[in-house]
Amino acid sequence: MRVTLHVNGRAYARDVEDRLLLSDFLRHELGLRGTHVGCEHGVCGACTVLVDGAAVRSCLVLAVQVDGAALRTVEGLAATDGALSPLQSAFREHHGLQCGFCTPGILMSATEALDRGELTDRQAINELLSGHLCRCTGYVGIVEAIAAAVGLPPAEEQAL
Amino acid sequence: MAITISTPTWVGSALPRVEDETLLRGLGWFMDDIDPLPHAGHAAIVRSPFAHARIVSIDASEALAVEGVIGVVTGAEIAAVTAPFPSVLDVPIDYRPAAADVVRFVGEPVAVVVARDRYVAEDAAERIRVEYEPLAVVADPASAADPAAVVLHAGTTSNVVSDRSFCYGDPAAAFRDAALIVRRSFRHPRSSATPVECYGVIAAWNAATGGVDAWANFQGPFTLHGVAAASLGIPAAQLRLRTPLQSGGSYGIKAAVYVYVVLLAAVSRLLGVPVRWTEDRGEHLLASSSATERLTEVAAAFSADGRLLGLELDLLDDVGAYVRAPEPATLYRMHGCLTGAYDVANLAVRSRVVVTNRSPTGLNRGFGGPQLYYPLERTMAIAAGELGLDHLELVRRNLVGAAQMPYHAAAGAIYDSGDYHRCVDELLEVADHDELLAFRAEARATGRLVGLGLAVVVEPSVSNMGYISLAQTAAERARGLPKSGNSEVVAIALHPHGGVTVRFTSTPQGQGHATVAAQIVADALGLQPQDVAVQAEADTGGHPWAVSSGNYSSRFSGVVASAIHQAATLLAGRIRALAAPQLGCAADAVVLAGAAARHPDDPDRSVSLRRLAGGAHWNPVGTGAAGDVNGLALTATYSIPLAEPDGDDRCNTSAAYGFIADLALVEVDRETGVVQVLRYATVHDAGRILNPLIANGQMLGGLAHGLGAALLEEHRHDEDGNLLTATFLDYTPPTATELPPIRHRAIETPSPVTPLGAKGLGEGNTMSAPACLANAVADALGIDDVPLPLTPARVWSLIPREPA
Amino acid sequence: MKPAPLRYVRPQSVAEACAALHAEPEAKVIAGGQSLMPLLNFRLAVPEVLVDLAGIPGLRGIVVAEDSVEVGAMTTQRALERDADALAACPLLALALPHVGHTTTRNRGTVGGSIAHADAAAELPCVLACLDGSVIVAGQGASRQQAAAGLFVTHLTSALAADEVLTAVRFPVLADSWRFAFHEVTQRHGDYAMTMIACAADVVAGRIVEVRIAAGAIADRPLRLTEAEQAVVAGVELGEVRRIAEASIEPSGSPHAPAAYRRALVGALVVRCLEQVLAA
Ligand code: FES
Ligand code: FES
Repeated sequence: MRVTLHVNGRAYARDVEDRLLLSDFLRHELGLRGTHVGCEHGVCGACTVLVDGAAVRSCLVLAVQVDGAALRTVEGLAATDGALSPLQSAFREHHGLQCGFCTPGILMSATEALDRGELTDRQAINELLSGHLCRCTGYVGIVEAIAAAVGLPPAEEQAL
Repeated sequence: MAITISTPTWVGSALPRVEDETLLRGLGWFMDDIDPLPHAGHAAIVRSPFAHARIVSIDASEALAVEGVIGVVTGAEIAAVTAPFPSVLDVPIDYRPAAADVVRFVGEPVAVVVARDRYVAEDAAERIRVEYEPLAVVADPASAADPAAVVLHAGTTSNVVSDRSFCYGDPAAAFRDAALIVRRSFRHPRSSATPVECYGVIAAWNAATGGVDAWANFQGPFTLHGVAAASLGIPAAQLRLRTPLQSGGSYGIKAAVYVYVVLLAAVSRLLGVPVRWTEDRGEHLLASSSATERLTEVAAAFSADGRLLGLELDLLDDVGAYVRAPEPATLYRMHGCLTGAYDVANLAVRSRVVVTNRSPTGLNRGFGGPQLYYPLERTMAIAAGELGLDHLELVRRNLVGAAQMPYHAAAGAIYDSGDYHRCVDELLEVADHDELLAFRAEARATGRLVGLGLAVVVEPSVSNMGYISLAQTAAERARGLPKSGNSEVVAIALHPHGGVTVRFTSTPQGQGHATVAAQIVADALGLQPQDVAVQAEADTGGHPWAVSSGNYSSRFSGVVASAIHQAATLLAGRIRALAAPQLGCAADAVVLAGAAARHPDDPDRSVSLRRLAGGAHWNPVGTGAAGDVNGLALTATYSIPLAEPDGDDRCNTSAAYGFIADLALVEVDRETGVVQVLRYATVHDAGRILNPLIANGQMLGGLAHGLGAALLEEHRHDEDGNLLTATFLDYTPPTATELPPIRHRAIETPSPVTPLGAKGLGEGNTMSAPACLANAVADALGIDDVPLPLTPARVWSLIPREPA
Repeated sequence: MKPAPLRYVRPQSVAEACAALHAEPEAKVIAGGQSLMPLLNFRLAVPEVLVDLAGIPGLRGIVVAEDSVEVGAMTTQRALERDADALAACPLLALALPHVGHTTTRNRGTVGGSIAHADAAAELPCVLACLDGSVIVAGQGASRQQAAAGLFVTHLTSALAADEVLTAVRFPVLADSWRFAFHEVTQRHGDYAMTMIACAADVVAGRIVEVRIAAGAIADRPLRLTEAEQAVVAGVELGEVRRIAEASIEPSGSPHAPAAYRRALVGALVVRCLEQVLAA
């Protein structure tokens, strides 16, 4: 089937097998390798992209299902002049990534939530992150990076 | 413009990582992203559904008929072009990358399909008909070790394939004199660090040379490159193995990808095409690698006043169906420091390796540490109860003292530095111990199940390449080459236009090696870190390496950083020598700062490194560099001095030893068994910290692995050897919501054995957290027997209940 | 881990969808796909045709009426979660939806898909069973209403015929005096529950005069704990209600959650829910 769509503002059209996963389509048909694949059963979140503004797992979507949609991937996060987005910069400052394999998916989920103003406290950040596995960081740097991007104050020691 | 001559100290600063921009933009080149050999066929692997069975027949005809299939290769065909993987154990175990006639674990490869793409390869793989004749299964270490059990490998008489006993000091006397002897049994379950990126391999056989070009997200070469070459039956120099620029985490697990390098190279040879394979998560959980399951019997002898007099450890490690190198290293990585943080001279150890019908084990963060400290630290807590002492007090009475450093541990480890008592004191402060005690008392008064747990661990780093030969007797060792030390080879070059490239083989998988290397080189040469380009990936044909090269045993900050430092210092010396005549001062006096060589007393007299390098490269004759121009590009090896095991089996198994003390407060929900960690505090001393930002990240990452293993993660098998945790819905690593609030502090006691004073630090909390939380839950429930992991259902079943 | 070959169709009307399902016995409906896609990737489901409802106009949307919140089948769980009016009218949804997977799966997962998938451990079927809700089903003939009781046949099997399509879900709106609670125990946040309890209670003057208690993840479908419900209304004290609830079920076990544990969770969570509605 023919799939016509926009990714990061660019138009693409490809003929694909009906069964092709969106994750494979992005990576292997369009060469957008920043979308990573870690489980292909919807748990790790590494493959998360924005489809019409909503963060979804691209391993749980067929490419043919997004015909006509507008997608955004990690490659589209930086400003047109190349500057990292404030969220991306915060990840660097707060050591929110190590191997960086989980990072694109987390950036995409957080980008949607940030845009919608849904991340009002660390609890909300944690809940957002419950859909993502990171095996490197222990999440502390990720939570702090997102908190900084939201404008939350640095974490305080918690009372019992 | 004023010139500051003082060199900025990059080492020790929390420099954000040079790796990050690439990753944040999605521009990394991970294994599945690269395509060095266009038109490579895509492999799918047919795996055994049985834990133990004879392969009666394989019929691939239907698969071969699928459009797009390039070929099918069976285990028997692979066996014909490979040799068994070599092992340190002298037992007849024929381990190949695929099973030829008998499968011994669920998930063992039996055939490989190669097709136009992975989708088609999977279509065909489903159509391969394999007929099996099931055999009796031994799916756990205890039943496998039973003399009556079915023996897995023809030619062996027992599934216990290695059985060594060690004795240090006089443990018999210690137990004779003891006022209290505590004996307990423990089971450390299998778990796995499950990197988010799975394995990947690309391999091409060159029919002309008989060589192999391979790419894999491996973490060596290490000793395993040679193991792979031996199985392929080719000279090691003919196996050119490269790692991609980025790797999506490993924590040890990806060391075992070498088996698939051999598999794919053999398939490429048999089918005559380059082949690629990206492991999927199902395959990864089923058959990649995991920590060993270990059964431990501990006996600990105490004096009446709580001095630990002697220790007996009986260790049985389940390595799975085959002894896959570097196993049985899990048993020996901690050998020198089996007495942990305690001052005890009398130690008896029995170390046994048992094969079972489960997937082979291997490196996994903490390697051998969690298996040791869970029994040891539980035993100390139990002993405290029996002695009527506070656990903290018992620990304090037995900790190695600062004045004893360097401390010679019973089995041979030489603890290089540290002040364990001070760490414990600081832990109490960081954790706010008084607040925790008060909280526990108050909560208990209202019937809540609240407990405190403590664990102290010694964290070894930079493994002695000789430790694995402890699996052999001294006599067996004497017949082979002695093994010792740990080395790294570093190439460094000052470019004709200035700027430096430094290259080594630490194959980082997220640990920020490039950043720290840039910091070290920048300091040595008076540069900015961004002036230093770093290549840390492996290319066994492109850059010299050592048999120890790779990413394991937290060796970067101990040995690789030392090697970088040495190479940069050598280069600095050559630059100074070149600059001295131009500056008119002695070479030793030349100051390297601000990307220039400077006169020590006259800031205006300087020559930029760019100019210096340009002169030496372009005008070697005129600048007097003729004899030494190559001196601006040098390769140097650094080895950390670590002796081979001695005739009494004493071995300093690692170069440096850090220390970690953890304290946790937990509450168990009486009705659901859910363990909530209310506070987790940790203090570590890992010597000098090279980059606090990265060190923190490593510490927190290691802790998350420990907490996950303590609370959530276990590879479970049924009695037929089927894996019950074969998806990420059943094998459950923690997410952000499962991790507790953490307090931590780093103390820096520089190591005297490494030039920069640094030790490894990424594994200690993986070792300590399961022990600490088990102690806390035991305290909360008032029971001794606390199995891991502490899942809600299991903890619920442990809660003491009034008889109905 | 890639789907087997399949043919994808995207009908433009419900009738077209039903016809496609009727024509091809090995066809399967895909709505949001968040439960189906993993099964396809594992090749545990191998439909020859995948009938996507996404192209059908009119299947998305939420109508908050006097007596029910009617949710179009293709409405995402996230859209429902963001609809303040719907949540105010049906507060049990507000309590249960955050437990459904994760934000990224709720962004695509649909309300109708979750109900039709009939997973015994899913939250929305349990909520529907608790509220005595219903679904609207279209088939070859006229569309029909199917009550929650009888809808969930067994794990992953609903009472829908192979050529029927679920078009809307009706969550009843209860009187203001009703209070709600939802509790579940999972290994990790967002995982399939080991046990869940949904509870709706009509509380008058501090007394429960009517109650509905549904339990998920303990049998092949959501169960109403009718004996416990009756006991509550009869004024039996909570400890006894717990025993009645535990005795009334025969939970299935799994490696993570053996049967005895699930039984105890049912008791504990029933009490938690009842305490919560009484305290509200
Ligand atoms: S790859 Fe899609 S969620 Fe893991
Ligand atoms: S940074 Fe490696 S998995 Fe998250």
